[in-house]
Amino acid sequence: MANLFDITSKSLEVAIEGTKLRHQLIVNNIANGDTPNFQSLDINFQDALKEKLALWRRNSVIKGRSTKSSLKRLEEREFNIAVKLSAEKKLDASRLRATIYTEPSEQERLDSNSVDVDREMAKLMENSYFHRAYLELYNKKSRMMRMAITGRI
Amino acid sequence: MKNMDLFTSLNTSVTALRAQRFRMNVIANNLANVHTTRTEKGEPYRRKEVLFATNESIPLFQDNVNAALRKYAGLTNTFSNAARGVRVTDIVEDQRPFRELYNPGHPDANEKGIVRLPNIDPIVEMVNMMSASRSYESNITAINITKRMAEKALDIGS
Repeated sequence: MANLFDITSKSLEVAIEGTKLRHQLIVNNIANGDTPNFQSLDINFQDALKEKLALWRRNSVIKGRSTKSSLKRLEEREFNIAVKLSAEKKLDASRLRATIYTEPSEQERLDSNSVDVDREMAKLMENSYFHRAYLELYNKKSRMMRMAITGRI
Repeated sequence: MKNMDLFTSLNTSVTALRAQRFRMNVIANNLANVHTTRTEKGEPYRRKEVLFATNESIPLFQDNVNAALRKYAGLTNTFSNAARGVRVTDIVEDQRPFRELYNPGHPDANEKGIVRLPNIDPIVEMVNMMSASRSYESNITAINITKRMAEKALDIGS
């Protein structure tokens, strides 16, 4: 079971959840396009996820080299799986540090609303394509898994 | 159950659609009454305008956002004025002076022959109408994209 839901699936899950959260924010910005004093909101979860993944990669490399360099191949592989597992737990448990921030407006409006509908629509499209790409990757991954389990393409 | 997030996005867009439609009704009412010189209050029709504010009364939606934030963004104090859609708080009357027109034959003219007409500028109303319909359209687009995302998410594992 160790590899069935590995770091890739985990980070894809987080990414899919992140795109949905961002979608909510963008939709809310569009909905409040005519509300006085509303400040448009956004989130950057991708950088946070990237950071977390880099940390995980670094950790697993260091651990793998320093202590178990003289192991037999099979044992080494098992150890790597163990490291991976603990790192997965870490990714799951520790929080991504992504913050929601207000976006400054590019043009001044009389009602101090900072929503730029063009920008929001572009963000909406971009984000939905990311959502789609992550889901596609997730599907590809599960298809590969199924191929490995059943032995059929 | 993960798809519930997208339903709340849908909800947000729907609140905006409702608000814009309401605004459109008020604008249409203004345009319809552009020559109304007599109302129940005894004065000409006054131009009306709607006020929008961020919605704070959708508990389900807010709970979802906060839960997601706690889980994935690690925020303990979740944002207070964020993603909750929009609502119409009030309809206000425009207090600008009425237009005046010299027309002694009019039944509502005063002793000097001046008729007071509503303080409505049809051009302003047309511009507002365009703005409302554009906002409506952008929310429809948002709904369509939400729908596509939800459909795509239903395809996981197929």
